[in-house]
Amino acid sequence: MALFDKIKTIYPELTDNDFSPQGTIHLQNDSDGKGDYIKSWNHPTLAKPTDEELA
Amino acid sequence: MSSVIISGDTSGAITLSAPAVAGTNTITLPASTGTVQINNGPAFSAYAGSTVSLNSNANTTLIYNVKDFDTATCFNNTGSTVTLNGISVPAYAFAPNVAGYYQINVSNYIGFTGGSTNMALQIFKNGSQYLISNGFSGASNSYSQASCVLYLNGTSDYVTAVMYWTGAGASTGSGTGYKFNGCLLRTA
Repeated sequence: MALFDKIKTIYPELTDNDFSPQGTIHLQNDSDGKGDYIKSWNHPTLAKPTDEELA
Repeated sequence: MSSVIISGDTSGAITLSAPAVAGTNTITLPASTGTVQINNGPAFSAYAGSTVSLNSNANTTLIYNVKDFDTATCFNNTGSTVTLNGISVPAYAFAPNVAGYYQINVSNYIGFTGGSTNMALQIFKNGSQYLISNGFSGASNSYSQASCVLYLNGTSDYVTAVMYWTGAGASTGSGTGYKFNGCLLRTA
C-alpha cells in the first residue's frame, strides 16, 4: 500500500488538497530506492502518524 | 604567439595572447568599471533513460540517468548520493561547483488513462520547491516543461526535477526528448 493510502486509512478526512504542493502535508520520493516518506507535516489539527501506525 | 604580461601588484600575472592565426581582430572593452567574466562555468544536459512510477499525492524526483554532456562533472545521474567536486550530490541532482546564477530547464511527461487527476512539474532547490509549473487537471497523457533562473552557491546547493501527481498507475516518459539541463548564466 502506498504511503498516501496508509495515511488516508488513518485519517479518511484528508483530501488531495492537503497533499498538494500548496498543501500542509508533503510526501516525497527521492528516486533513491528508499520509497515514499513524509517530508513535512504541518496540518493544523491532525498529528503526524507514527512509524508504528504506518507500518 | 605574441603576448603582453601584466604583473599583479604583489603576486600573480595576467597574460594577454594573440593566436598565430591570420587576420586582424578587435576586442573592444566596455566603457564602464567592472570585472570581465569568462563564462566557462558548469553546463549539463541529461535525458530520461527510464520511466518513473509515480505514487499518488507524492512528489517524486524524476530520473535523468543518461548524460548528453556534463562539462564539470556536477550532475549525478545515478540513484544514490555521490560526492562530486567535494559536494554531496543526491540522486539525479545538479550541484555546480561555481557560485552564480543558473538557467535550469526540465521537460517530461505523464502517461496514464482515465480519471480526473492533477499534476505539476517542479524544480526543487535543496529539496524544497523553488518553482512550480504546468498545473494540470485532466484525464489523459500530458507533456510538461518548466524553467527558471536561480542562485546556486557552488559549495552545497543542488537542484532536482520533481513531479507531483494525484492519480495512480502513472509513469513518466522515457526517451532522449525528456531533458533536464542547465548552465551558468553569470557568476555571483
